[in-house]
Amino acid sequence: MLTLLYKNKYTPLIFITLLSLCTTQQVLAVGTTSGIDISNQATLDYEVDGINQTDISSNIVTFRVDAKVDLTVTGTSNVNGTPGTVKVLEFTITNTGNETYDYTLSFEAGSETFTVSDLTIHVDTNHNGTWDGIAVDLPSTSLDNLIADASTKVWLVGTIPASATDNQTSTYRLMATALLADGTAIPAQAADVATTKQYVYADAAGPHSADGAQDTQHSAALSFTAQTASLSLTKSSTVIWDPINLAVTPLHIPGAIVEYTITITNGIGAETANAIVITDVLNNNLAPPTDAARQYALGHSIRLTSPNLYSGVMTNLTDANDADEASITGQTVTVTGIVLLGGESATIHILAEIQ
Amino acid sequence: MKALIKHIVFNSIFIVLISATSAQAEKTGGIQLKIVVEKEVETTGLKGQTIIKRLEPFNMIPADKVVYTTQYHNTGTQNARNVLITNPIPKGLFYLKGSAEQPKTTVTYSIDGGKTFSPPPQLKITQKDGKQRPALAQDYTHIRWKIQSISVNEKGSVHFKAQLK
Repeated sequence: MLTLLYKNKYTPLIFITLLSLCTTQQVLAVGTTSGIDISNQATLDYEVDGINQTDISSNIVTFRVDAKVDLTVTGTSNVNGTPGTVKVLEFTITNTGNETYDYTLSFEAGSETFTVSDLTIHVDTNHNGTWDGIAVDLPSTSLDNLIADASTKVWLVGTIPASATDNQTSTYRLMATALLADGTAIPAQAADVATTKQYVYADAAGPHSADGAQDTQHSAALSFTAQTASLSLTKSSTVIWDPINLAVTPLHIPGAIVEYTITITNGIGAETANAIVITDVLNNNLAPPTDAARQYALGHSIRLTSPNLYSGVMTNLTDANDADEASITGQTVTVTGIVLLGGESATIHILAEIQ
Repeated sequence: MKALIKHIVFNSIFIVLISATSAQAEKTGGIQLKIVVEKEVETTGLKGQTIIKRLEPFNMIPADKVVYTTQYHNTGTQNARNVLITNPIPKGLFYLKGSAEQPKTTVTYSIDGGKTFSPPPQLKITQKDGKQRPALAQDYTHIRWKIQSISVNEKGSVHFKAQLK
């Protein structure tokens, strides 16, 4: 270490220390860079009998700044996804130490209700801080030369299995382990030696099962939640008319008209269910009413209420296989075109005559 | 006349020599000056109380705290007056506000590398937009204590705390 002292009688001591040649340090970060020496010296100015005396200088004291090994891994946010789709969990790794480090990356599953079997770690290959897809931000389990106070993004990428059901969640923990900037292991912590740069571990413990405090590692956990439509179906029937008792106290006798009610509901908070198709096969003893008076309208044995159709107003549909959403072919009633957002319901009414 | 000139010349040489030797040593001039640096470590006691220890610096990493103590001892034969003790705040550390205030001293600070010293209310930084703001502890470059007098044989010390950036 080279020390330069400059002093004259009228100004206090100005002390300059040049960096040691044997430790090459990179960009000076907010934290004092490791390996440098910090020195200090005091001066005293005084008078005797009104006459100013020569200044007195103290000894010089010096200590070395050691290397702090510290890092944080944080997760941006949990992610919802439709089963069968590829989703991405985003993490940020920050070097909170005072020199440059390399890192190795690994992950483990936390609690899983479904398994993301193809989960891979991807790094920010083009260094732009955003996820650009698997072809640009490539798979890797290492980060090189993250300088002090710098951070970089890492992503866990995988497919939510098609078998996952609505609101199932699986958690994954990403861990970063620090290495020296040349890729070798960080020296173990040791008793202080004044002339040597020591490595001091300062990281906190994280959620990963192998991540303790002061072990050169940190981790964070994020979840995938499957979001599907969550449809439920109910069906009921009521006899509404018979030829003898009419509508007063109708009974299930030949010629009686039965009204079936089918309700389809999509669970609250579920994904939108598109292109719902309802198929109902009528019992062989049933057939669409032949008398128009017994139908909703001539040729219309079906009526539909669906939020996305006919402004949500209950509408009669034709039995014929035509442009509208319903048709009856043989015993099979088919209704298409219903779309339900989470929490919505649709209702189909079908009239049938007991043969 | 010649004898007078010779006398003056001789004395001048003598004074110069004394000044040259005093510039290097820490002990001449009648006051011994010693600076010590310690690491301040906080631990929690059994009753939850905070215990502060001062130790030889070890494992110094950013955010660690140090105490610089400058000890003086008047080993000379005359009382010293209007004593000014000056310490730089080394680069890589920032001063912990208030830690240099000690009884029987007046403390001033420099924010211009030791050229001028003022009490905190007068320390102002001119910003890029031309406006002035009060200097913060992290803007200070030097600390200066003024002690009215140090009598013969008197010992004492001043100290300040700083934190590693």
